[in-house]
Amino acid sequence: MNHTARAVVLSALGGVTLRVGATEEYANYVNDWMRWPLVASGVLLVALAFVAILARVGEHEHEHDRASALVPWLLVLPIVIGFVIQPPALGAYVADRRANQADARTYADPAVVPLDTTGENEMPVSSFVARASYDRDGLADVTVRLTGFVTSDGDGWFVTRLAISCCAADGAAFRVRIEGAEAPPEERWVTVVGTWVEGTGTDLGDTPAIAASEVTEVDEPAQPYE
Amino acid sequence: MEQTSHEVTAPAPRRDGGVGWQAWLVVGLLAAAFPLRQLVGPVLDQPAFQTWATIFLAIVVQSVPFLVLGVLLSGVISVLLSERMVARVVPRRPALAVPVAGIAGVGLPACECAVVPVANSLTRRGLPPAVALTFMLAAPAINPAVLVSTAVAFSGRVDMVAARFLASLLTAVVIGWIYVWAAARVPALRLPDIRHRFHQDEGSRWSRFAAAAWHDFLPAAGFLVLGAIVAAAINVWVPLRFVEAVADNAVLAVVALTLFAFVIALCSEADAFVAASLTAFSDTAKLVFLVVGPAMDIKLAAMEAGQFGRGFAQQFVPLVLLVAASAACLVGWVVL
Repeated sequence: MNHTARAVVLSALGGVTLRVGATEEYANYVNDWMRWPLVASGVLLVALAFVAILARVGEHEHEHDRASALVPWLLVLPIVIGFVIQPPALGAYVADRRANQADARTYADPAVVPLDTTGENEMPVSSFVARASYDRDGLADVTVRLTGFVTSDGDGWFVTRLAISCCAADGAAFRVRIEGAEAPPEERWVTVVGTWVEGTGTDLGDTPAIAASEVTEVDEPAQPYE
Repeated sequence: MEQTSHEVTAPAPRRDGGVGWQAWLVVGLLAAAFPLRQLVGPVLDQPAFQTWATIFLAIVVQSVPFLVLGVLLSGVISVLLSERMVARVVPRRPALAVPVAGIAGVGLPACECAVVPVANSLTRRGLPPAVALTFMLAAPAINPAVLVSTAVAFSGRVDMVAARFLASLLTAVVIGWIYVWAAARVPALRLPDIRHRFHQDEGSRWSRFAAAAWHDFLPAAGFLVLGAIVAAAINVWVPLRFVEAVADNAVLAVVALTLFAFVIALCSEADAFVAASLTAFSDTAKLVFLVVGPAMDIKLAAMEAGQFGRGFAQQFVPLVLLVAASAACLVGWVVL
């Protein structure tokens, strides 16, 4: 790849990085602490491309073998995927394969804050799954509010949410079975209010259940992962 | 491919006014992608492909800032660090310098993508290759950010954090010593290939900095993409359950998690969460996963082949896998 083509690729890659960081799209791929590093590195890459063209930096370099001449072409792939395809947040496809495989306690808030026994407790799906296994007394007879998307396994349906610690590659899926309510269409985002069905999901890998009192369809949240 | 030698000071005349067909090809590819996307839309909308694309882009996007950081550091090294200074700071005997470089890895809180260009620029500055390799293996595994995330993922288990620190440091130092010892004695062992590498000492500091960054970033990012293509595919199509099938057999479990850590290529700051969820495996097998991953994975192997030469990588990659898995088993057996 020649000097100008490299500069074009570099600035386009910087553009993808910058856009992912500067818009809400970052939430589909990485955790929110990555946001400003993305913006900064996008700006730096675009700047480097301009410096290389204007100041003719690195113009006289030559490739020493065929492989390293071809490798920069690979960068066209993330650029096309980032600009043109813009893949959505991970959803049901991953959730069906990984549901409740990970230990929810490592994703949920480790501190056991006593739950409010009179009002609604809004919590992440992973926290609910975690509490069903280690905070059974605290969870009994408490009203909870969970938000996630709808998946099903033929028998019933689940409210499902993915959690990431660094980027989408390490995503883990958590789901809660919903009883006593009609299943909304698959992959639709919903908020479910209800109480824990005691004794469900107490072992790692099991799926806890909620007796729902209210199911509302909502818009996909800006942060698709927990 | 245009080839201009170092002796030529002015750019060779170009027919098309200095842009070249390759730049137009890149622009053309990007422009053609939009109409093409409409044409092959149904294929691209399949959940399996979309999941791959999301994970692929996530790996690339997650790595770019760390790669930029690594390239910036490597630029700073090429500008500020002279070969004399390297010689003064680093112990003269490489066998002693290796453990020093291993411990120094604590000071670079970045995951593995950042450290490959840094190691490369250190060797360019006259650091013995064995010492730079030790630093490269140690830094992404034993820095504070990684140790803290390990503690969080394993609900504060200090023994796991200590075991990870010890086994990763051991791996890095043993590899360094192997290269120190073998450099003179085993001709078949290839050292990192830095002879053809870029070396510029003329020009102002800024232009040297920009030239180093320009030289480092694109090849490293290209190889990173190569690794991310495979890692994302493995992530989507090889479920954890396949790996868990062998969890009961101690030997197979170690082999399986070594290979899994290699192909799945997780960031060292996130791998502890995945390791913690491998509940079917023994603690030692989980430790193997945590020690192998930051030292060697498919995207690192691709990047190292690009930076240090393919001949070197063909020996280095299996050697690191073997040493890392053995070190983790040993430390796991003693500590856990």
